[in-house]
Amino acid sequence: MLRSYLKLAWKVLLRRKFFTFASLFGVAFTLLVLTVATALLDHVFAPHAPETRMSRTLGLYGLAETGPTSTRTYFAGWPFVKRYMQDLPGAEKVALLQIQHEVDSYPRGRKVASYLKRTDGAFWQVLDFEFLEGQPYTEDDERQARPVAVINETTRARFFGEGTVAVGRTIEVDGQRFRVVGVVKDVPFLRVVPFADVWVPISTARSDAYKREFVGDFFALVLADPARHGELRREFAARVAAARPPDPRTFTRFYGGLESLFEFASRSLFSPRLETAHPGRLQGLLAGLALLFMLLPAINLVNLNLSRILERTGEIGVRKAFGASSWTLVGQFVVESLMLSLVGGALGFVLSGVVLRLLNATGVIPYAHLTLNLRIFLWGVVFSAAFGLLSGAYPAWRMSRLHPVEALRGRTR
Amino acid sequence: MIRHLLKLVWHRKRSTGLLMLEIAVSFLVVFGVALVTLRFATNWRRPLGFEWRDVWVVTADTNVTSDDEWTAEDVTRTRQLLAEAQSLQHVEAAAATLIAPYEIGGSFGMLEHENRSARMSVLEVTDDFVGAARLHLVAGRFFGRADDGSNVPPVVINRRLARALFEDDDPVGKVIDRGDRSVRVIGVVDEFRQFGELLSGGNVLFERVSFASADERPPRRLMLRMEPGTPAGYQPELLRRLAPVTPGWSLSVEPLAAMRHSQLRLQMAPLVVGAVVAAFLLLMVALGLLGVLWQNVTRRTRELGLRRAAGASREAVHRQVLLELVLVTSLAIAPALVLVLQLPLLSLFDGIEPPLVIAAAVAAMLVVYALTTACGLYPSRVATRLAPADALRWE
Repeated sequence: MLRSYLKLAWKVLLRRKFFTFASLFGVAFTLLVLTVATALLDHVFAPHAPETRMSRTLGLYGLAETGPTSTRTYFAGWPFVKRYMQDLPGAEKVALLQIQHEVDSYPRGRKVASYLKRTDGAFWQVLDFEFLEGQPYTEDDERQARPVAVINETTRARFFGEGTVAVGRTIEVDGQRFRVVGVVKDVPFLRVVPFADVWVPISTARSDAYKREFVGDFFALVLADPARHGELRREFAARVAAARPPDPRTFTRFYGGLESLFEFASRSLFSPRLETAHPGRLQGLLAGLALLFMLLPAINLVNLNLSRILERTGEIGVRKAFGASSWTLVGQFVVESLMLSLVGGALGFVLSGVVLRLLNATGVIPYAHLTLNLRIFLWGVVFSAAFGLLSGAYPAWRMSRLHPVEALRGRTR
Repeated sequence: MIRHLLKLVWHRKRSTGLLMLEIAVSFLVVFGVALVTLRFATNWRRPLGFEWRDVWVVTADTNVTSDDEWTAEDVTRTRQLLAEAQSLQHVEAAAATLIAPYEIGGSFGMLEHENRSARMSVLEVTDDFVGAARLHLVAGRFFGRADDGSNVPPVVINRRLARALFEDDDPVGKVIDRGDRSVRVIGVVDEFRQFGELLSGGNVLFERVSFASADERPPRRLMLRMEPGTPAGYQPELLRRLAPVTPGWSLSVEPLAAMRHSQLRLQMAPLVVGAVVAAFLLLMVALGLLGVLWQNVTRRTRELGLRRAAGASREAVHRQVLLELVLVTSLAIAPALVLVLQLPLLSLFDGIEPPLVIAAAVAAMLVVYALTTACGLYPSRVATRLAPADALRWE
């Protein structure tokens, strides 16, 4: 049955080439936009190297302190992490990293702007960087404040030239000199947690004032067994609720919690004071935008499908006269539109591969490495199928209600 | 004629209904893109209020304190840094400011005067800012030595804020409430659109930084007006001269032109992406319309053949098909038009004035009419291709 439907659909699509082209164009273009958008989201939120342990990682991505008159929303400070994030239940490692700063250097007389990130030694164990040469600095390097640095391959090329070895050489960044101990592959700009050009130990900061700021510019990552995440979050929430800011006159309490990156994104979008996370709302917003975008293509495809099916009133009449039920006919037409959308989807998928490659090549987003993977492919299939159903169901339903006698005479209303 | 055509359209309301929905949604898409484009274009032509060419911005990062926390030493050092910058070769004027133009962030506050209140952007600047940014004063004067020791702090406002607070009164010399203290307006600048040419800009208030006391927040940015033609190669030299004044701070320098470029690119990005997507959507709609109209006309071959047999000329049938299409388009656009004309009334978005909405609606109407007519040309030709006799017995 299904095979004959597919065969029939194929013949129909080949017969009216213009309709097929117009439909395929619409579906492919819609899928192209949705796939590129999904690839961007995937690029920001999905586990990719170096964040391969994302499912095991929780982060403290923001910290707010509030008082009767003012609220300060920023990031965690060093003493806050040291005081409230030790010995959390189930935590295997706690890593500390600073928000990157843009710094200028002048190697070989040319200005180079790089992003500098100060981290502790555990950072290299929680995240999974791919080293091209050398190795990370250790927790001991951090304790001893050794002036050592890990750089990415672009920085290596900028400072020392293409295809050179950098380990053991010295770079001057932001007026400080560091010995290069490792070179890693470039990390995409949009991966806010690991991204930088140059990574150095926190303790090499020119002043130790960061040791006194409870609200500062640090992210903290906790690596733990996902089974214990609930317990971990509750314990940390209890500690944050009990914590008191050092200046109790202006600020009376902290807000912040351990969460995934996506939860943090929705929290900062919908709850500026970082009180509650609304991951559902962000998902809803994204789904709503996708549906709104699909509206016009869907109407367009419904119109095209209706026109295509209207031509076949004679055929429908014959089938009805020979006893085909309405449901059989609906099934046939839905299979037809599903097939069309899946072919269009495949086309759109190939096209989005080309567009993503172009986006990577132009460097609009620094170090972007947008790729199509199985996850995005599955999303594409889901989008295409949803789209096919959306645009095929209404025309099919309308045609299935034709009266056989009227249909045989070729009349439609 | 029109009434007759209306009747024809009405008889096929179910199939034209969806077509009309498609046209209406297309109209809304084009309207959205046109509105944003026109808004950017009108903003671009208005005066900016400052001159961005030949300005370099030096940013000082103390690595210790934040914008809201500082020490007495920070204040002294910032003053020394500014003095050093002013003495440098190639520097025509230098001023310190908390926020430079084309920066993404901002600082905002409220002002009150005789039950009128206004929200505005606050810029904390030193006396030379007027020269470094080349502001246009329209009344009064900018900050200067004369303000040292005055017990009511001086402020300079822009024309828009002056209008919001004083309407037609002369603002110079007025004392107004600024939260916990009173301030005196000493001058009015024409405009200062700190976020650049594309955005409309709002109320602006300048407050004076004199480094007189440790309670005054030290600005972290220096705006240096350079001699025209100063080479970019002078940047490292500039930093080398300034660095010894503030050991432990990180200094960086960027031409304001570069900041402007990246800011404008950032603001343009959504419009460019939106316009490209909208263009492809329209192409898709055009292909769809062409297919649907073609099919419609093919189905009506017998009807149109009858008209020809009854003596209508080829052109008359042509005209009928196109007129029907224009009618359907108008019927589709009308409700969408009513919808978008509510926009200025809703005042959901700031700065969406009625003329702009009307212009965008007209542009969108032109595009949509052109699109549907172009799509109807070929099908209307198909309709009259057959000889009347053939058309009448066509199945």
